[in-house]
Amino acid sequence: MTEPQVTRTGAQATIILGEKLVAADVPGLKSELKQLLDSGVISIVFDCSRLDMMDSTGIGCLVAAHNSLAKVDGGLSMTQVSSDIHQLLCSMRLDRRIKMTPSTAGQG
Amino acid sequence: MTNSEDFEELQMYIAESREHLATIENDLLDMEVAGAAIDETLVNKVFRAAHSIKGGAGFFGLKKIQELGHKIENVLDLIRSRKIAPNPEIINLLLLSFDCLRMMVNDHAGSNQVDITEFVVSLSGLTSSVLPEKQKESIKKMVDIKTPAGRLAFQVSEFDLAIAREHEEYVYLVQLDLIHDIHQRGKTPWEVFKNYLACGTLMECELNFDAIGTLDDESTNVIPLDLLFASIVDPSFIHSLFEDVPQKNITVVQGPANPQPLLKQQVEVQVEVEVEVQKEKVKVEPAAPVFMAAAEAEPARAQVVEDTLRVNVNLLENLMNLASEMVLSRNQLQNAIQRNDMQSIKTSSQRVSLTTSELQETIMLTRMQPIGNILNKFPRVVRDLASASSKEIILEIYGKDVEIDKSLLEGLSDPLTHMVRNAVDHGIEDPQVRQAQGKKWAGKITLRAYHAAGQVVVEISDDGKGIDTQKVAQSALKKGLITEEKLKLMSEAEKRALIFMAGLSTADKITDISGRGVGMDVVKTNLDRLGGKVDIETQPGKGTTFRISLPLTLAIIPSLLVSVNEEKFAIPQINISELIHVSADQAKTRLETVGDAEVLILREKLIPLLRLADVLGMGRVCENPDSGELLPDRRVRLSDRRSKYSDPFLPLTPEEQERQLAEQERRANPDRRFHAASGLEIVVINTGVMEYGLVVEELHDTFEIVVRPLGQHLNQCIEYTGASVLGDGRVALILDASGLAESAQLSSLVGSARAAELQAKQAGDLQKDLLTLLLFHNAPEETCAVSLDMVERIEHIDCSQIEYAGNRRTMQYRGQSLPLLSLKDTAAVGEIAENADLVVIVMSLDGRSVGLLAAQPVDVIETALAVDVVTHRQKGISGSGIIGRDTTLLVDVHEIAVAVLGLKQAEPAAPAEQKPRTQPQPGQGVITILLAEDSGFFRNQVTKYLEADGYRVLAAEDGQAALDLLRKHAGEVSLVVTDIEMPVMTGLEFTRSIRADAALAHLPVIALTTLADEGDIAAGVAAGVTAYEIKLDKEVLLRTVRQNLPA
Repeated sequence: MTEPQVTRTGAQATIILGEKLVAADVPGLKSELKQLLDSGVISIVFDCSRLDMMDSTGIGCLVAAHNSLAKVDGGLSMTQVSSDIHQLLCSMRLDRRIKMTPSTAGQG
Repeated sequence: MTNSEDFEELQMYIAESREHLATIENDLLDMEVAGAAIDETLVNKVFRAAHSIKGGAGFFGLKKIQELGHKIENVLDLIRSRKIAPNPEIINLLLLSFDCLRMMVNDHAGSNQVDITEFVVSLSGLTSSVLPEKQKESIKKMVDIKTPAGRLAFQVSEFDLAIAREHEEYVYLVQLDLIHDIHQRGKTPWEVFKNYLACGTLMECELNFDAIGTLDDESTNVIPLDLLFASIVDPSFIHSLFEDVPQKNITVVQGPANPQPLLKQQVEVQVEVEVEVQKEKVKVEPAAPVFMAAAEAEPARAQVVEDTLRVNVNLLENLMNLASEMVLSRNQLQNAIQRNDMQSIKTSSQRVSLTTSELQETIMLTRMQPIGNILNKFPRVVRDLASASSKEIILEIYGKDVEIDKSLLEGLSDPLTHMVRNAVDHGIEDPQVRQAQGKKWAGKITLRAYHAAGQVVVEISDDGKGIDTQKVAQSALKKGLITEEKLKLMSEAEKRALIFMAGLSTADKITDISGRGVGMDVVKTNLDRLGGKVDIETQPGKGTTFRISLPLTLAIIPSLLVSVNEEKFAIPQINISELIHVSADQAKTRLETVGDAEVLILREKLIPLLRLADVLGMGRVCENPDSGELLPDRRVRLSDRRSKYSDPFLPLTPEEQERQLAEQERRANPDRRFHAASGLEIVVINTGVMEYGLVVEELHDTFEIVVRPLGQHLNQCIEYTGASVLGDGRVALILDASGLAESAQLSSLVGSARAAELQAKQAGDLQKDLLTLLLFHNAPEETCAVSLDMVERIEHIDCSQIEYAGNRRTMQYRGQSLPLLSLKDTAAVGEIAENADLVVIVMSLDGRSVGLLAAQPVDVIETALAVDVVTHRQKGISGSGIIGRDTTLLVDVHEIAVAVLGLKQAEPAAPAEQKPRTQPQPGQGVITILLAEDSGFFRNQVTKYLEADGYRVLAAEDGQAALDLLRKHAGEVSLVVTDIEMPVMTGLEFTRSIRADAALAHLPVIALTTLADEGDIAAGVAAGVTAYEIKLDKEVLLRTVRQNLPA
């Protein structure tokens, strides 16, 4: 398990997620996100370039982060989302609420 | 309806409408084929059907049925008056409109709520010759999709919904919970969604953001997600896909806005199904009712479970007579009991028994329905599917009149549909591929139903690419469905049967029709539930035949009763191949251990053994042969001897140790097993995929048992299919042949080294003629034999049953006079001893039954016999051979019958599809067949079979002689039948010579041989053999000859 790496610039933070976002990772990530929100971050970008697996609790965590940010008029976005995860999230129509860009590595 | 009279009239209207609708599809398809050259009679017939349905509907206030019927009538009127030609588009619209009409008729109570706008607009548009822009409105019109609880889940446009249905057939509303239904099942959402996406279209998806809360909230235990999912997978199979989602959370979106929970449909179906057995099956296995729910959900495609049945008046009369007879017999019995008159009680009870049997048979007749009722829907199914996959397919259907129990018919409909879909999609290749392979552009699917051995057989054949067994096996291996070790032990049949495993598909691409690995397992499960077996025959590049064998009825089945540990069990006879008694002295030679499996050696084949007591978890017991006392059976292996000293861990006294030593000495004696009671009773069971031996303690008689369903508490026990109450009031559970094998994880061991060894031995034997013979005696010292395939029955008789008229002997047999023959009639042999136990071997010669008088004992053997056609040859004896130590005379019953009864040597049997043949004269329309066979015995037999079927036969002793003969009669011969193993020139060399000769190359060649493993068949095909047949099944040979004769 690789720890998420956080880079903060003003009210925006970029979190580079590890290879997995599963039940074991969720509590740590949630606590990190809460700290960021408490310190005034209102825009969070998840860099998913390393992420290749997400379970149901991971999806729950994404939605909870989106809901929290929506409360402060902020936003959540995801970049470099792998093809499978992008297809899953789009199938679930999460792309209607969370901005996401697919990984360029997996294309073609 | 205000009163029962109205209700009855309505029922009559519904029944009549269904009858009208039953044949409409095929009539419309015929109209499509005829095109502009319309057949007025046909159009009038369809018109009258629409007219009758419309007329009745008006009377009963069924407005929508009336309206749609009227619109259809208008279009048919235009066709009738040749104002429009019935092109495929118009026929399509009519088919869909009739589908809708059928759906409304079946659900007449709700028919006035059905939205028929689309059809009305299209049909009206067609009538006014201006097609409407019907889609414009529907694009704007939004439809609410609500959950059964009434919550609004989605809003979609009517157009989208219609398109989804058109493309995928079914639309489902699925309420998922990512935590319970996915996470807690150890799955990831992608894993699950990937499957969904492979099986249909996700029209809409909504994750409930509010239920999840924010980061400040406690982690939630539910993540609700609604899916609107369109799929071709019908409701009977949808649970294979959404396996972790509770049934109540999957609903079929039926109309624009009224999803039907599957559970509710199930309840409704439970009320509708007539047979108690079926009802219970509904409870035991959810798949069965859902099948029927599917039928309700999509009436256009599937068979509707009808709640009425039309019965012939004569049959009802018969039933009434039998009921009267029954009352009379009961009264007589009561009277006899009162008088305590044992003789009368016996007579009356016999009468009750006879009447009960007749009553049972007659009642069963009322349930029999022609299989055409379901086969008739396939022209439409194949047409639609072929057109969707851009293929051209000819469908041929035979045996529509074959009758089968109503409940079986209903259960068979969906598995058959699935198999036909598979044949269209996977079986038949694309036309270009077919053409490149030298096949006809159009593929052919044949559905054939016939009766065989008291069963109904339904064959689904295609002339497509066949099943690649290796690919199936590799796919199963890759998906982890089987292990490599198990694969090595599997026979070809078992590998082919892997296609019935859940989750296996070898389709290169998933299509709308099939190829998702969902379905064939359910097909097998459903056929198993109907008590059926499926065999698969496939030839790469040539095609595949699925052969389903079903009992005639499910309610009462002939079964063998067996017992273990004093418990009785029933085994359906359909699953039983043979019963074997392995006597104590044979145990050592016939029972072996291969790996950790015990096996029986049966005619050089390994039959894995299963001890019923073990698989059912009952204690093994054995009977003390002296005292009859039941003791625990301590044998580790079946071939172990029963002795208290067998157990190496049993503490023994010094005296016992001495006896143990003495016994060990006795064990050196090979003939130490002698007591009849220590033999084994083995029931050889055939599941359609494999054979295994079931070891039981005792075999009882066969009975016709009434099948009762199992209760809920036993529904997980795959070893049982039902239960029956026996005559003594005890309950016998009915064993499930496949379930037992599955429970014991049995495999056929065909791939084991020992099996290969036996096969090699058998191949050695096959160089000689392998014959299955019925042995019997004539005079006490004369052992005789006839080929077993000629024998229909063996009847024990008493001398007094023989009647003499002139110089002819007869006996009364099944209400007719059976001519009796004796070898003595034509041959110089001894007389049957006066005190002999007489039997009559009943055989059919040229469609006529004759009996051959013989003496006991009789036995059946399969032997590699060197036949001597000279030494003992005389009229009625075709040859002789040494069997064991005895010279055995091979009796030619046909020759005796010709001499005694004056039967002709060659009388045409004239089956329906046979070409007319009269006298065997060359060049005058008689078909000539050339036969190459080195064995005199087989040459004689085959020649007789062929001549009796009306062919002229030219026979030769080897390939070279046959080739010379063929060249001499090149213009006369229509087909060649050849043995493979022959001196001078083998059958394969002979076939290659035929193919190399331009004047002969067109001739079909049937290889008739005892060698037929995959390699032999491949070698035959490579040499140019047209068909491969195993010696010597008369019916199969004649069928193959007929099928391969040039048109």
